Amino acid sequence: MKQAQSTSPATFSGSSTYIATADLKLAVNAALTLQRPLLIKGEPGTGKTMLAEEVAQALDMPLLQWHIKSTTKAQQGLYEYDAVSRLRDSQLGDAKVNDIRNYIIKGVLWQAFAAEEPTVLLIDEIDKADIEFPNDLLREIDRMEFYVYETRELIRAKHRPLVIITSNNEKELPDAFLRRCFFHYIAFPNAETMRNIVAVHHPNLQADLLAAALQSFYQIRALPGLKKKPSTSELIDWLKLLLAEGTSPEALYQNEENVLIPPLHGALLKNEQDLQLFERLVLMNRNHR
Amino acid sequence: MLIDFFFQLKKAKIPVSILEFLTLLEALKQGVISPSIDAFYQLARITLIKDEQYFDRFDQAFGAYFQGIENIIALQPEIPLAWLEKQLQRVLTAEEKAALQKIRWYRGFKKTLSRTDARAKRST
Repeated sequence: MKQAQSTSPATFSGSSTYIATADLKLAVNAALTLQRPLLIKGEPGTGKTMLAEEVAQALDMPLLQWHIKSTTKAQQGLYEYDAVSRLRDSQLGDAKVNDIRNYIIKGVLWQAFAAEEPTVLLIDEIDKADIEFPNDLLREIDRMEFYVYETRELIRAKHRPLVIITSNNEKELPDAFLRRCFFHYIAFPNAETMRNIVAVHHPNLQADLLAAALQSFYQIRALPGLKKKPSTSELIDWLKLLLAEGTSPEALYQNEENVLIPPLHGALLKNEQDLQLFERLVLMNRNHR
Repeated sequence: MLIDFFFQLKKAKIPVSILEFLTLLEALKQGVISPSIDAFYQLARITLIKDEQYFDRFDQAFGAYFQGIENIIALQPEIPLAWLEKQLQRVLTAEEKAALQKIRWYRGFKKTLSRTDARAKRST
């Protein structure tokens, strides 16, 4: 199931479980055609990481994931040299010890380069690492090759992987790195897109329940002063709970006389302060009348 | 190609680099997008803009540049209706032609009707 790499790259057009807007599709296809990395930013919970999974599935390409932490070094994505095992083996007189190759552990990038078919490589939350991290990967991502000093060999990609990088914008990324990427900002979905997104996750949701739920959801999002506004993934979870509880749409309806706290609102607001603020606002609204 | 556009963005104080501009041209050459202004807008944005804080400025610069071009298109002389109709005659089937004839007759009828109406009003 190989994709023809250079002649006609496959195109991505969303999938049955992921709603992609037109500009997101274009960004993925541009990255595929020009073989450049794609940098995705956006509010947490808008489906940045899911995009890589869905692209890999839709194009039938294997997905390699590299989740970045504050301690991750660029070198770990290439390879690591396991000196401790080698020392132990040499003391035990293992024959393996003569070949240093046995102690080189391939990183995610190496795996992607060595793969027999084009892969999707996800570098998740690149802003978690320190500022030098993206710079250290510049050449590897640009030229798709790197040098292994221990064995003196040059590893070059057989197929350029589709690199998808996500960032939560906790740190600025270096300019030199940005220049080489395509950039897409996942905006918060509007009500119509949100309806489509909910439809693929909960296909048999009653229309009136959805309408009522979406109304309260956007109302909560519009509240000023919330520390963490609920996002798409919270909405999906909340709907799942509402369905499991068998909540009727009437329980969600609110009008001028009837301001209420929506059931299971803990699924939407996960911050103690936000919860209190929300409850206080609702009570205030009620007392005003 | 599009050099003016590039400088328009520079003038708007958007940090764009030559490398990114070349990427954009490369993408156009490879036919990533269908030829439409909306698709070009999206493509230009994902290649040239790397920070969402510049989206607004990009929109303005883009608008300013392409406003001029849309005006040029608007200035083009309109294609005469008769010419288009002749073109249609070649494509349409006999039934469609008959239907068209009916519409034309109906329009003419309405026109005479309104004319007689106006005349009637004037005389009263």
